[in-house]
Amino acid sequence: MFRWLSLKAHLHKSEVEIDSFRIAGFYISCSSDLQNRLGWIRTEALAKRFRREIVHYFNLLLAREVVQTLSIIAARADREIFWGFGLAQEEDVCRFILDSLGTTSRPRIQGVSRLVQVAEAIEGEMFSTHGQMLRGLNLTSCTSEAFLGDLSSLLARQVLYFGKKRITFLVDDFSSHRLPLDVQAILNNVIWERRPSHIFKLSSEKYGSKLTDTLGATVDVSREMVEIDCGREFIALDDSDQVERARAFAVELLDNRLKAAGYRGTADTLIGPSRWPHSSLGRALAEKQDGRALDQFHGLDCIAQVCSGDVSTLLLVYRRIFERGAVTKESTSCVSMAIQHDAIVSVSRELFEAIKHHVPCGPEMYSVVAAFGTLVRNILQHGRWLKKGNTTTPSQCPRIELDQKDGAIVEALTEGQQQLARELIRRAIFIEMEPGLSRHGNVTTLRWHLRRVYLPAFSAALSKNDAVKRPVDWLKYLLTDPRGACDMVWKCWPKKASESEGPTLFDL
Amino acid sequence: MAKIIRRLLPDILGDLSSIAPQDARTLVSDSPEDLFLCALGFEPRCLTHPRRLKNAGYKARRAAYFKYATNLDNNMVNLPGLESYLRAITPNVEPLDADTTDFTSRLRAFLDLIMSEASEKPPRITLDVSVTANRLLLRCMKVLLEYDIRLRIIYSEAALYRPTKKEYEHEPEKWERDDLLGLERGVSEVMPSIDHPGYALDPLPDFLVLFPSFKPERSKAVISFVDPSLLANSGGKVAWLLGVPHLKEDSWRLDAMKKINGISEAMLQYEVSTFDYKDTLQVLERIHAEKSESHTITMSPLGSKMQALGTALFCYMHPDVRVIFSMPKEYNAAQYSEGCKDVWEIDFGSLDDLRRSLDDVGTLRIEE
Repeated sequence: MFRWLSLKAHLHKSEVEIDSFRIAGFYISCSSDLQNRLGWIRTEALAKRFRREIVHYFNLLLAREVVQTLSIIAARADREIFWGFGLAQEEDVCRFILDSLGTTSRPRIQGVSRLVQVAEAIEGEMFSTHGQMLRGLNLTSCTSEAFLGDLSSLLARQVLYFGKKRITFLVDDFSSHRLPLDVQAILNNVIWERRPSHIFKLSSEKYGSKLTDTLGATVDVSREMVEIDCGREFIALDDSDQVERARAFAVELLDNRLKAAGYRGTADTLIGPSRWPHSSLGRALAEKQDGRALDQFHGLDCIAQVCSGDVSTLLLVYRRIFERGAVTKESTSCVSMAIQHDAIVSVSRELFEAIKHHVPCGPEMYSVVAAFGTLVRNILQHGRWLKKGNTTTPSQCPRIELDQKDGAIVEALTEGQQQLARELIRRAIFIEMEPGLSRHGNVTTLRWHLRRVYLPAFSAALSKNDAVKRPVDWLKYLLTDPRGACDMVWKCWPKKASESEGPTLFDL
Repeated sequence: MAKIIRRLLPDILGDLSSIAPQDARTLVSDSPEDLFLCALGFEPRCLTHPRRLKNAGYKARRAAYFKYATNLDNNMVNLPGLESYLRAITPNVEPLDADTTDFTSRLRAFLDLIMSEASEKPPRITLDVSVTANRLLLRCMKVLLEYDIRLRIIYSEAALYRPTKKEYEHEPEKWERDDLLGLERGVSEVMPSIDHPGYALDPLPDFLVLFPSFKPERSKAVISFVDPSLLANSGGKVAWLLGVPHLKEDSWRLDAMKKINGISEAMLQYEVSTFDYKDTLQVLERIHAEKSESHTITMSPLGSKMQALGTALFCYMHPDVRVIFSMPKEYNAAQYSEGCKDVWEIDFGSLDDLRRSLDDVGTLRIEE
């Protein structure tokens, strides 16, 4: 998503299209170069030792992206008229950067664009900086924490387009497993600098970024920072308007790609709507009879609900349906519901199996999901149905709700349990919802929602109309012995048929 | 008529030394070598070369052994033996911690000392890789290739590698399951190599080159680290480099490796000798030629020592490639390799010449 927001990704478009953008984005990813070059700085002492070099490297990486983007703009016929980026402005930008690097006297090469030469000078400085750090040496001269602010001010002042569109530095995956927290704290001195000429947008795993700088200063969450929790936004699909928006997004995503690839079919013709008896996937799964073909997971409504804000999951589902349904450029007929079901469940199983390989806590997280997913499925299939007006509906409860009577739950967990809990949220295996208000008094409730893409692997429904409501100690039990904890819930869950001495959860 | 010729890897492969049986007597000379390097491991064969060299009368001015952060107790069993053999070779013996962040800095400082002390230039160094972990071998080679030295690599081949054919065929599923011990257990950490960060300045798609081991979890942890979606759908972006054993009686290991790692025929794969580092170089060079323009290449060498050596030379040639290490929580010392079958060496001679040969690849020449 961030990559798509970058200006560079759209520079092949017309003036009218580019003029409709609200920001001028410059993109870098922490999962590639920054992680490889700075990921080894894992202690506060090392980070402090190389503080200036870390800032310098970050500045250079973003400056390189700016220069590369300008280089493409400079090749456009409308560089002066539309962008306001003539030779004089180009010279100003190049001079500013070279002055900052202390390489103004660098010889120029004829026949090679000035901007390309500046980009090469920046790259040379980046590699040299990294090499010096690995040798344990500090640089005599570095760009300062104000460098990017000065660069954005210059661009906004000199280049017409950047005066109109807010420069936005897009830093992807600014998460602790990509960039150590001590490095993040140093970079926060750059990121949080308040300038009218630019803003930063960061993407991060939940709790993956540090919110203080090296002086311990914090951002004002309401004024200086806006947090958008994509998982939470997507999970909050309980009202029908949100469901419709998620469906529209899933359809548009596929239609755009099909159009770009020259396919005749559309989302509606190739996949079509979901068709369930009583318009309910949960009911279709709960009433499924033995021996009947499996086709419950199908259609655009279902696929839209599988996504928890992760676009790559949607794309993977579409890809698998098209592969198994032998969809070609000329196809216009709908892939059968059984094939769609098969594809969705196989993607779900593969993503569920992939949990095992996360480091750290992969096998432990896998066990938690395996047990909880089984519980959700069994409640759907064998649990007593809930009253809904004059009718009843099967219980669908992919959510855990815990009362926080004595303060934050994490304080009650051991170190190992805290790590596992943190990883479950960081990896978005469970989505942490906004705290709710408990029915048992004026206390907040911690709410964890199982990421929906895992539910088809268990033949569990995607919606939620109930939750596993337990005291805090149960979370500790779940993190320590997932099967035991889920079996405990199952034993006391009201069932359709009376089973005073029924099988355990995992014997069903 | 003069032609412009582009030098390719096959043009220089003949200039590179091949692996050959090692005779300890050839290492003995009138003047002692400048440095002997080896590793302290839990396998008894970490003592094989030091013992043979001591018995043959080999001498060095200095010796250093690398210490790992894993299996400390198991490794300690071999420490007295190793120290006594090394002290018979030289009075100047010192340990070097192999798993610290600043390992390469300290190795460079140590080599600077060797360079300054050497009476003859270039100094002569022997590196025993019998029990070096691949991550250590790559880090060592990275530093050694920066120096003008004469390098000989020696290697003792285990008499028995786990799993044996009998062990595997008795319980093949045991080796496919992640929760049983096998050769190693768990993954403690996955991290990009400090010394081989690659160039990933532009946002290109990932391409992953994996040398699998007999425990799939380490390779899969690397895939998960680079891009978890590749576990579910590699989409031709993961290449498996499968080791072909040099002994015919071990050929079953190739199929077992595929089965254990779940590598189907549809997946992108290459067969690479476990014993000929030049074969590794050639295959990697081919992959690089195909993918480097359009992808960010990442490698994880969990295969044999010689494959790791080939990878180290390849990384010298292509610093744009990133290396990722995946460390196990612990090795199973009780089930690892046993004994020593044969001893081998690769006498690279002057690393200045080796670098020149490797640097030559890709250059243009005018030839009559």
